[in-house]
Amino acid sequence: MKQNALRRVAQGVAAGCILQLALPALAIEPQQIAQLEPRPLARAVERKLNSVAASPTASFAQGEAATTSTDSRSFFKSPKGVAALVLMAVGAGYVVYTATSQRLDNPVR
Amino acid sequence: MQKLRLVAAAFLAVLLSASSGSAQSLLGTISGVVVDQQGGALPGATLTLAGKTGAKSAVTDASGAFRFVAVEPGTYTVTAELASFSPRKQENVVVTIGKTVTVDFSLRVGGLTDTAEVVAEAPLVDTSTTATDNSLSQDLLFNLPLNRFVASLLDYTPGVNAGSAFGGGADVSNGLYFDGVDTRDPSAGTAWVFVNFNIVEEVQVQGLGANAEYGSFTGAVVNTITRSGGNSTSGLFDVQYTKGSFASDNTTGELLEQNPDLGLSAKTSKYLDFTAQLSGPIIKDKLFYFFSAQRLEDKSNPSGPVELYSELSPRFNGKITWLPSSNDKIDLQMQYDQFNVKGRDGWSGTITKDVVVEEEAPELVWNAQWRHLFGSNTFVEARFAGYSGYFDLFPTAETLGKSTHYDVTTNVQSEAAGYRSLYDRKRNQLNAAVTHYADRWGKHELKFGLEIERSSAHNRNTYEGGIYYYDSTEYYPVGQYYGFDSSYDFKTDVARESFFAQDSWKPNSRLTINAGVRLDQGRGYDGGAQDIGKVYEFTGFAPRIGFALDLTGDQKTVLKAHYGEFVDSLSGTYFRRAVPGLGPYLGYFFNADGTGEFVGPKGNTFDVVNRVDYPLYNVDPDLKHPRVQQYTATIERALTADTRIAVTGTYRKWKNFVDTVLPDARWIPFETEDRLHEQPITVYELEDQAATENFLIRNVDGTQYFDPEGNLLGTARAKRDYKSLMVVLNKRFTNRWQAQVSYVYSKTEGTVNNDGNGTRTSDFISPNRSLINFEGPLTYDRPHELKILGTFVIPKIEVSISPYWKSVSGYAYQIQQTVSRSATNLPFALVSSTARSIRLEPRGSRRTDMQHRLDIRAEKIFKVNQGNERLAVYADVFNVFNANYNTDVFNNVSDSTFLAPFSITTPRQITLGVRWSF
Repeated sequence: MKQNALRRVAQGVAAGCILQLALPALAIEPQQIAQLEPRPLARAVERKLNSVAASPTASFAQGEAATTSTDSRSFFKSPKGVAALVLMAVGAGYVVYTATSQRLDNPVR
Repeated sequence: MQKLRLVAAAFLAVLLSASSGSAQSLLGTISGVVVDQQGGALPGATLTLAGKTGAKSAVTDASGAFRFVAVEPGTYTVTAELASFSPRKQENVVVTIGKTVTVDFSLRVGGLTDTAEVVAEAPLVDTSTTATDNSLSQDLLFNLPLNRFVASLLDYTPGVNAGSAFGGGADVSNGLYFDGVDTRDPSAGTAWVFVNFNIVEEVQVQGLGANAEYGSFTGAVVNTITRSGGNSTSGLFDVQYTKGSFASDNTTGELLEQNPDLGLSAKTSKYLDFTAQLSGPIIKDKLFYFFSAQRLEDKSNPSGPVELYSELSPRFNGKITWLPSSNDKIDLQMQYDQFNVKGRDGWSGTITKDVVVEEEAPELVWNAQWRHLFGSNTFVEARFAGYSGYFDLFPTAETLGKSTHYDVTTNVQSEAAGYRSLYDRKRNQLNAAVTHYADRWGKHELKFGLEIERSSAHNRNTYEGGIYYYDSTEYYPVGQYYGFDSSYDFKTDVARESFFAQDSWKPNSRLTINAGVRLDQGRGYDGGAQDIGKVYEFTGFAPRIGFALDLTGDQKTVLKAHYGEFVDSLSGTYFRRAVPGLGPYLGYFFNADGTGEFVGPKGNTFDVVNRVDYPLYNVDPDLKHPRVQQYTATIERALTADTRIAVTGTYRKWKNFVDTVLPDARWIPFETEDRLHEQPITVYELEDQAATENFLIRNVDGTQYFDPEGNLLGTARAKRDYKSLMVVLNKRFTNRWQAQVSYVYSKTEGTVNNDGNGTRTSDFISPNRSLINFEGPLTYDRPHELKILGTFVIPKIEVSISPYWKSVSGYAYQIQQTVSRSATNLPFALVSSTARSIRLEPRGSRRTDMQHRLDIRAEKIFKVNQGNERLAVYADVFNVFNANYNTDVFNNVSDSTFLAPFSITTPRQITLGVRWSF
C-alpha cells in the first residue's frame, strides 16, 4: 500500500512537472497530487448541494422519466392498453393503406 | 442538536457536482465518489444504476470512485450501498449526450434508505469541455413551435440562419447525423433522410470546438438520437392539423404591383400529421421493441401560378434493442418511408400551372449498432448505417409526352414541365470507436475510431419528346421553333475512410485539455457504364486542440479556447463533370418543309443546327479538399444557480476552395455599358472558344487571367472569413419559466459565396465574375441576430406559453447585369449564363430588410392517472405579426421586375395539436 501511495505521489509530481513545463501560464494546484488520494468531501458536499437548484425539469417536456417495469401483457389488457392497441392498429393500418394505395408511381421505373 | 447535525449531514450527503467529458459520442457518463460522513473514501461500495432497460452495478475503487460509462441519454436512479451504512438513493439523474453527471454520495452509519429527489443533471457551466455549448436544451427544444423538419432545428441555434452555420454554406455544409451516422445525400450534400420528429429522443448541435470524431462538415452538425423501448410499455399518439382558413394573407397591393407573379399568399391549405407509437419489453431486461407509424399530409398553395403543392408521406420506424449481457447492447432499426408529391414546380422562374412534375421518393434506412463494455473504463461501439432510395420527377398524366415551351420574350415557361429525372441514391457507412478512461497523470478520456463510407448517386434526365422548345416570337415566326435536347446519365461513387484519435485530459480539477487529430481520405469514382475509375482524390488532416480552465475553482466561471480544422464532405458535385454521361447538346431549328432529320412532337421536323459534345473535365491531381480553420474563445459564467451567460468570439477562415477554370483561355478586355450607373465598364471576352476543350477542376485561389499577349490581367482570390461575437444567456426551468436569449454580431465576407453551393463555387471560369466587384459581404452574411426562446407556465391554469422571437439582418446582394453571349464569346452550351453576369457594384452592397418574426406555442397538459400519462393540447402560431419580408429580389438590371421581391415570407398560420403519451 505504501509503495502504491508513493508511486501515485511520484506520478502526480511527474505530471505536475510536465504540465508546469508545458503550460507555464496555467499553474497547477497543489490539490492535483492530493486528488489522487481519498479526499475529504464533506465541505465540498455542502457547497455543491447548496448550489444545486432543487428544481424539476420542465414537467411538460417530452423526455421520459425512468420508470419501473410493468408487465406488458397485463398492460394490454387494461383499458389504457386496449385503447393504445386500437389506436396503434388503426393508425398503422391507415399508414399502410397510404403507402400501398396512395403511392405515386413513376411509369418509367 | 447532534442528531440534527447528523440528519443535516445525511441530507447533504448526495453531492451533485459538475464535470463533463468532452462533448462527444451519443452517450453520457455518470461518475462520482462514495465517502463516509467524515469524508473518508469508501472502497467496495456497490452502486446500482437503474434506467428504463433495467439495472447495472459498479463497485467503488480504493479511492471510493465509481463510473458508469456509455450511458444512454435518459433519466436514471443511482443507489449506493455498503454494509453497515444506510443506503443512499439519488433519483432524477438526467443524462444527456456527451455529458458527464457527477453524483457523489456520503453514507451514514446504519438506518433506512435516504433518498434525494433533487435533479442531478449536467452542470450549468461545463468546465471540462472545450466545445462551446450554445445549443438548445431539450426542455426548450421540445416546447417550441417547430416546423418538425429535423435539419431545420439548426436554425434555432445562435449563429445559424437559413441553414448557414457560422458562415458556412447553406444546408450543404452541415453534417446531419441520424443515430450517430451522417445521412446526407452523397450527390449534393443536402438532407436525404427525413425523420419523424416524434421519434426523436434528443437533438444536439455541434460546431464550435467540436472534437476530432466529428468531421466532413464546415458548418455545424445536428445529432439526432431516436427513441428506444424499455421495460415499461410506453406510447405516444400525436396529431397536428391546420387548414387554409387558419392562415392569413400577407401579400399587399404594393407588393403585387412590384411583382404580380407573387400571386396569392403562400398558405398551407391542409396539414395533417399523425403519429402512432408504442414501445416496451419483449423479454424483461433483455429485449425491447419500438414501433412508430406516421402519416404526413401537406397541401399548400405556394405563391405564384402553381395552384396546389401536395405531399403525402407514410413513414414507419422499428427498432429492436437487445441486451445479451450486462456489457453488451445491440440496436437494430429500420425506417421505410415514401415522399409522394404532386404539383412540384417543374422549373424555377415564371411558369404556368401546367409546368409541374410529380415526385415519387421511397427509401429504406437502416442502422445497426453494437456496444460492448470492458469493465468500467473501456467500451467499443460499432455502427453500420445507410439507406437505399430514389426520387423521381416525372410529368403529370395530363402532360405525359408533352414538351416544355420557354418564351424568351416573355420569360414564361408553359404547357408542360417536359422532362423526367431519376435520381438513385445508396449510402453505407461503418463507424467504429473505442473509448478508454485512464487515470494516469490526471484523468483521460481517450477515443480512437474510424469511419468507412461507400455511397453512390445515379442521375438521369431526358426531355419529353426529345426536345425543349424555345418559342421566341421575337426571333422566330409564329409556329417556328428553336429547340434543344441535352439528356444525361451519370453515376458518381464516393469512398471515404476517416480515422481519429482524441483525448479529453484533466491534469487537475480546474483544467481540461482536449486534443485530437482526424485524417480523412476521400475518393470520387465514375460508377457509370464506361467506368473510367477514380477521378477525384484528397487527403485531409484536421488537428484540434483546446483547453477549458475553471477560473474560480468553483465551477462557475470557465475560460475556453479552441483551434480546429474541419474538412468538407466529399459529394458528387465536386467531380460530377469529370465522369462521362452528359450530353451531347443538340440544337434544332424548325424545318418548314417537313424534311428535317429529327421528328419532334406533332410530326414537326427539325434540322440539327448545333451539336456540342461536352468535354470531360480534368481534375488537378494536386488538388486539396476545402476546409475551414476555426478559432474560438469563450468565457462562461454561472450568474445564479440556474442562469448562465456565455460570451464567445469566433474566427473562421476557409481554404482550398474548388472550382472549374479554363487554363488555356486568353481574355480580351472591352468596354460595355453599365446600365445601372450609365457609364462604361470593362469586361472580358474569351479570345478563342477552343480554350473550352480544357476545363480543369482545381483549387482556384490565385487563378491568373491573361490577355492574348500573355499579359496578366489579374489574379483571383478565393476566400471566405467569418468573425462573430456571440452572447448567450440561458436560464434553466425553475420558478415556472426557462429561456435562452442570444445576440450574435457577425461578418461573413469574401469572394466565395455561402449559398447552397457551399465550398463549391462557380465564379472562376471567367474573369467577369472573379475580377470585377468580386469581394464583400456574402449572401448569408447576417450581421445582427437576436433570438429569444422561452417557456412560461401560467399559474392556476397551468398552460405553458413558449415564444420564439427572431430578429435577423436581411440577405446581402448586389445589382448585376448579363453581358451577351456574342460579346463574351462564351459558348452557351458549355458555360452557364452566370459566367456572363457581371456585378455592377461591390458584392453584398445591398441588403434585404431586417426580418423580425414571432412564433408562439400554447400548451395545456392534463396529467391522467398516476405516473407519466399525459394528455396535451397545443396550438402553434407561426409568424404572429403576419410579416411579409422579401427573402429574395430580382437583382439583374435586365429583369422586367428589377428590384421587385422574388419571394416573401410565409404568412401567419395557426396549427393545432393533440398528444396522448404514457
